[in-house]
Amino acid sequence: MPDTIRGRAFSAIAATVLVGIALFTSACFERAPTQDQREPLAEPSDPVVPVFDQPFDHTWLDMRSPIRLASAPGGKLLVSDSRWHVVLRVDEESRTADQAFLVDGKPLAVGMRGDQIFVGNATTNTVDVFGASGGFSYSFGDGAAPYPTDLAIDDALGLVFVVAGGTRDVKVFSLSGELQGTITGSGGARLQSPTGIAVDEGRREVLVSDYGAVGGHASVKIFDYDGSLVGEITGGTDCGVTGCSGGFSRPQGLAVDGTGLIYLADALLGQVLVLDRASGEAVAMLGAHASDGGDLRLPMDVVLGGRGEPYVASNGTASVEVVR
Amino acid sequence: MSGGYGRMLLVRLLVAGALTLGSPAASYIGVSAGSALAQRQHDTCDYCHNLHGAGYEQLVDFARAEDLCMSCHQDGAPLTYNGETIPKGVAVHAGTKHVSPDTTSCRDCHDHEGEVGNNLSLIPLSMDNRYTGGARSIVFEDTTDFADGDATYDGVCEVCHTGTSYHRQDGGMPAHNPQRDCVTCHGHDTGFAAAGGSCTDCHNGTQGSRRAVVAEFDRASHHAASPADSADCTVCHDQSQHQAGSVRLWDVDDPGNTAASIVLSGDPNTSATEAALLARFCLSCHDSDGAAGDTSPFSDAVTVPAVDSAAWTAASHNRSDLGSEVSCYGDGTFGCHISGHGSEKLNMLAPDTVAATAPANAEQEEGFCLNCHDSDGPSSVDLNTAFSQAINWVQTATGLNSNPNLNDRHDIQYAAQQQSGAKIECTDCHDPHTATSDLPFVLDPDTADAHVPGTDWYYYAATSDTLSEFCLDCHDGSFPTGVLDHTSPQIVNIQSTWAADGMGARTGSSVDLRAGNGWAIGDVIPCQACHTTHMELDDDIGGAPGTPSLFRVVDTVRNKAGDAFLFFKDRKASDPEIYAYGITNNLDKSDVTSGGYWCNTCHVRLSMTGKENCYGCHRHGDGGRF
Repeated sequence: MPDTIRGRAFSAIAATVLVGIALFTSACFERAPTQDQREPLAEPSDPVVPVFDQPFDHTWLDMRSPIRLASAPGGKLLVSDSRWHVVLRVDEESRTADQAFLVDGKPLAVGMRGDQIFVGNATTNTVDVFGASGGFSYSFGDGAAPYPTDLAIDDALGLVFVVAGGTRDVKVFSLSGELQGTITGSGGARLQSPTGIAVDEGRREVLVSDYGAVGGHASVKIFDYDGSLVGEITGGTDCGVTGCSGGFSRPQGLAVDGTGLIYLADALLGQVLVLDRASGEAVAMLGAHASDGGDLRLPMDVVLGGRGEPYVASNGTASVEVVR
Repeated sequence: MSGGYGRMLLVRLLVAGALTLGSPAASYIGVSAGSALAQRQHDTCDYCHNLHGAGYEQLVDFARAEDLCMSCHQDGAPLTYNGETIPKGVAVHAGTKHVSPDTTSCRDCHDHEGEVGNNLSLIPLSMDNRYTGGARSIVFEDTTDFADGDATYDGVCEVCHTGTSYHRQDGGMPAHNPQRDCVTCHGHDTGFAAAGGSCTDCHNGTQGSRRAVVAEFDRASHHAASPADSADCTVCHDQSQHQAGSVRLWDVDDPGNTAASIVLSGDPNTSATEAALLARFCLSCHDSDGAAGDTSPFSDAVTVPAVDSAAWTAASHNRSDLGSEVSCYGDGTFGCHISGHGSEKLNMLAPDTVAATAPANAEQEEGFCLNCHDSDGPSSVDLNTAFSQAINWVQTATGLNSNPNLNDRHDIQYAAQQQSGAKIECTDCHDPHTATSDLPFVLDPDTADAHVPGTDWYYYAATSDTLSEFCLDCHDGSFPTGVLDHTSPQIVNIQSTWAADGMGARTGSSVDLRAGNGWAIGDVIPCQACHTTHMELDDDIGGAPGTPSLFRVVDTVRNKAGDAFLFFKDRKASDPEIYAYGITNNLDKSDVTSGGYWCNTCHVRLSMTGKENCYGCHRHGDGGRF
């Protein structure tokens, strides 16, 4: 049974879940992780601060098209830049890039676990794994996760959740790249145009942002690790090419904290919405669009830094901003 | 954006706006009322339009309008929407073209006026030209309509362009790739600067002042296999400032570091100063670790020939005394290798065209080495004058050595090679990157045999000497790759006859050595005691000064110590330069100072006086009679 989700879409979603629970179990997560696979892995070794020692063009440090963010130890952020085809290391304090490494293709998703950096490569349709030095290690998911727009990692279980834009679903991989299952949603909760993803390790939930379909609604869909829909926060409705009516309409990257708050970047609004997981309500709106005197244009992702502050990949301004 | 979506847009704006006005803000589920009201409604006119602007242009909030486009067309946005794939990578309207204040918005070419008519991608039916004023009609019903090259100038590119090199709206400049999909090369993500296509797509023809280069990779020697793809090009070329007026080349050991790039602002094919900049670039790859560790950086997987940079620093060809006038790169006078793309000569030597009289690669000497090693330099070693002497085919000899295909010189010249069938090049003996006056030769031309010359080229002794070992590397009947055999094995395969014919090691008493020169019965005579390697004008054996001699025989034979020349004082004038001996025709005593025999420099055999041809009976490889 879903957690308490308020909203216009609740009834429909709940009904769908109730009626189709068996379908969710078998179809949404086509190959659920086994119990063994869910056993917590050993904690990653001491946090490794990424220090790239790969040759790079210093021009790249002037980022051109930041897409996704990931938190890294040592007060650092990782930023994928789809224009330069690099992953940048950005200092939280200065919000400037000081190192970079090249990806053989267009990087979108980025995440870090221990001393490994995972990058969704939209050219090769793979997840490329690099060491903390930026040296290439291995790839996985060849073709299984086309157009990997975002990823999230459950550190403890060693699961990598990848948004596959090409198949409009979420692929779940082990750290070594074995496909564990697929989250699709179904019925009215079928993922339509998924973009961003986050995992709530405490709740063992997967949160996926979705532009929705023409005439549908934008949303953040919440699944458990079995792939069953457990909640949905609905944004704007009657969506089309110009956006949606009311609410958020271009939900991109998102982050969750330990207190039940969800941070969601709305690319069109130019702000970060802070949503309460329990109620679905927006409790705060952070930052402002450049046209309104703010620093954000086309925010593509949000990540919580080492001190819990939300950092935003502001694509239109080619910068990383902190919003309060 | 699909045409279908485009045509829906205006209707949606109106309908959705109306719906929104009639809908409660609470339709945004879970958002508190205050927060919801704080949001601008995306689907209302005032999202993109400032309601109180003065005119139509001023009505548009460009940032908002662009964000609307990019929220779907940026990387990271959904790949598909309602089953249709959304084009990506239209991320940046910035670059060398279409920059502020010209434009900063998608709306310059796309807006919802394009929903009317048959134009694709929200391209409107007409557009105001901001430079000339007035509206121009646009037809954009196919991707061939960007600039189709006809006289109507109604392509979406043509209606505005007034200062471009091609496709101006008044037809004042020529067409360029008409009816092509312009954004293949002039992409949105580069502000429409030409960067979107592959390198070879564009540079297979002239591009402004840049020559066509793709075909150069088809030449006999080249970098990368033909056709080279863009990845091959960017091994060398730093594209960070493409079309900014310079050619930038990576330090390939530090790829990506634009600060270390070599920047050319002129043509290194014609400018010695520009060419001199390239030595560092060349050597960054032509070393033991290739391009940052990759010794075969191109797609053809050819291993980079390594140059010992330390040896090159000390090499005679590294004319640092001439400053910037000498480089790896150049036109053949101030540098050796022309065009990093390809040459019809070996090793991309300059000039890159084939000399008129020879097939590809055959004229290394005539077309290259002798260009500098001539009478007017820059080398002080003039070989061209001597090698320009008529080739003296050995037709006067008799017996076994009357082979008319036997040349009087190493067969480095095309004509000599054609005559004899043999072939050897300067670089078979000399490494231009390492050669010095102390170490003029390659260390071991034929590593497959037992001859290892060593490095002390001026040493020779009775039991062995460096240069003889070097000569025998070829003259043992086996050859390094590229050196071709001669039709006269008696000459070529000296090694096999060395023991049999004695070569000075004969123990019989009939050799009648003349006293005073140091040579004794049983000695092995070094090659250089009797022969030189190059054509030299003072090799006047058998004729007047400047006449080539047989097999590079020296004027005066070295003594055993190797530090002096021997003169048969009873039979020569005081000047050895005109001391003309004969070998093949000792009856030729036209020179008043002649009358002795070259062989008699060492051998006392007055009985030979009057014999017209020592060589008719005595030679290498003739049953021990030499």
